[in-house]
Amino acid sequence: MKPHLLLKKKLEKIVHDSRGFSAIIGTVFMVLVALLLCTNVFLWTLSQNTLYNEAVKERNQLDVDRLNERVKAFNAVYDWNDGEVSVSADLQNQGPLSVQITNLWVKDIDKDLYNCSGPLDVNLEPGGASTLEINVTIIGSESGDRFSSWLITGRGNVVPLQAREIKEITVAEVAAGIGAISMDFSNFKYYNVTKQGASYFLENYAAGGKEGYVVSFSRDIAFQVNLTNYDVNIPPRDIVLSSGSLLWMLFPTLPNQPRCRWWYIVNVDDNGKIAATFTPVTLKHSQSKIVFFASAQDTSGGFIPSPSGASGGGSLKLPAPGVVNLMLVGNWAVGISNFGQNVPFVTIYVKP
Amino acid sequence: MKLKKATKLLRNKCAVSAVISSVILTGAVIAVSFVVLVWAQYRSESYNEQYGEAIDSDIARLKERLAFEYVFYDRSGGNLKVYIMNCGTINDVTVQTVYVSNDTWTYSFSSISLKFLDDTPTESLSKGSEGYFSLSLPTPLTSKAIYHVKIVTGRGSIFETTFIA
Repeated sequence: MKPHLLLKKKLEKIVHDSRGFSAIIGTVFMVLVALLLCTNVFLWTLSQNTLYNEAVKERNQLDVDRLNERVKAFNAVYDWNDGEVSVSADLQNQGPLSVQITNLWVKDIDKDLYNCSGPLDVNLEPGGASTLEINVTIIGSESGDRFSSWLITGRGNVVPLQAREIKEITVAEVAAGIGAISMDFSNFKYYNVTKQGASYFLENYAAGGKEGYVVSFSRDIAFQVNLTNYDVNIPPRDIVLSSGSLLWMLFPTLPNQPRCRWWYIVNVDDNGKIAATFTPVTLKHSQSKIVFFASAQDTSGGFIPSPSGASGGGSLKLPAPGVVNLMLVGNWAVGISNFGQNVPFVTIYVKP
Repeated sequence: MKLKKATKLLRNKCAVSAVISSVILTGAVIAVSFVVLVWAQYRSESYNEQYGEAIDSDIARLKERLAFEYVFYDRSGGNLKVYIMNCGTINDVTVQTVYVSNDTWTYSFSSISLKFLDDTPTESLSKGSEGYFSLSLPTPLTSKAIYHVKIVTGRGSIFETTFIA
C-alpha cells in the first residue's frame, strides 16, 4: 500500500473511533485555559511595566528639565529699613524652559538671622528678564548688616543672588578716586540757548549738542554732562543733586584778576525746554544720567541764561582756555546725610 | 419503538458498571479541572495584585522629589532646622526618618514633626508646598564643618544634602 493511502486510512480510523475523544477534548480545553491564564498574566505584567517605564521617563524628563534650568539673578541690592530688608535684583532666564520662582530666602550674615518671603509667583519665559523687588522681614537685623539671598524655583533649584558689582575701574573714572560721581569725558557737550516767547530752549536739542571742549564767546549756552553714581557703600545709595550744583569756569587773565563764569543746574524736558524752576535730580546707583547746566543763578530763584566767556570779559583775551570745576551738592537719597563733590574735569577753550 | 429500546437498555445489566464508572470518572475529572482552574485564576489574580502594588509603589516613589531650601544650625540651641519643598509630581510626601551625619557618626531621627513655613503642623507635603522640621541634636556641631542630612520618606525615597554648620 502506498504511504499516502496508509495515512488516509489511519486518519479515517482515528476519526471513526470514538474512544479517547473526550481525553483529547479535555486536553485541548485545559491547554486553552492555561494559555488564557498565562496570556492574562503576561498582558497584565506588560501593562504594569509600561506604566513603570512611563513613570521613569517622566522622572528622567523632570531631572533633565531641572538640570536645564538656568536663571541668573544679579545686581542684587539690599536696603534695610526698620527690620525689613528690601531686596531688588535683576532676573534673567538663560535656559530653554520657562521658570517659576517660588520663594526668596534672605540671610543676615552678620547676625546669623534669616527669613523667607513666602510663596512667590514670578514666571520667566525662556530668554525673559524681570526685576525682582521683595521685602523680607528679618527681626533683629540692623542697618549696615550684610545680607545674602537665594531664590527657589518650582523645580527645586537654588539660585543665589549675585550682589551688584562694584568695578575697580569705577574708582579710576571718579576723579582721582575721590567721590561717588564720575563724568563721561566722551559725552561732554554744549548747546546754544535761545529764547522763544517767555521760555528758553536748547538749540537743536534733538540733534544732540556740540562738543563741549571748544565753545564760542558771548552766546547764552548750556552744558550737558553725563554723570554716573558709583557709590561704593554697601548697600549702594542714590544721590539727589540740588539746585546749588553748578559748572564753574575760571580763566587766567591777569594774575590778580582771574575771570570766571558759572552755570547752575537746570531741568530740561524732552523738547529741549529749560524749566523755569528746578526739581532735584536723582542719580540712581550705577545709572548714568544726562545733567544740564545753564542758569546764571540758582534756579530756586528762577532761571536766567548765562553766556559763554567770562564776566568782565574785556580783559579776557580770546581764544582763552578755561578750567572747569563741576561743583555738585545735594544729599544721599537714604537718610539725611548731605552730599558734596567737586569734579575738576576738563578744560574748555573759548574762541571769539 | 423508542420506549421499547430504552426499556431494553435499562433491563440489560451487562454494561451498567462501566457507564457508572465512566460518569463518576468524568465528573471527578471535571470537578478537579474546575478546582485547578479556580486555583490558577486565584493565584494569577493574586500575583497580578502584588505586582501591581509593587509597580504602583515604585511609580509613586519615582514621582517623589524633595528640594532642600535651607539647612540652618542654631548654635545656641543646638537645633537643626531643615527647610524642604515638595517639587515632585505626587502629593502626600511624608518624612519617615532623618539621618544627620559626618564622616565619623550618624544620628537618626524617626519621629519627625513636619510643619508648614507658617508653623502649622502637617503630616505631609502636597505638590509645590514648603515646610520644615526641627531636630534637636544630642551633641553640638563643629563650626565650619561639613555635615550630611538624609531624608527617608514614607514611600522609601531618599534625599540628601550637605551643609556647613
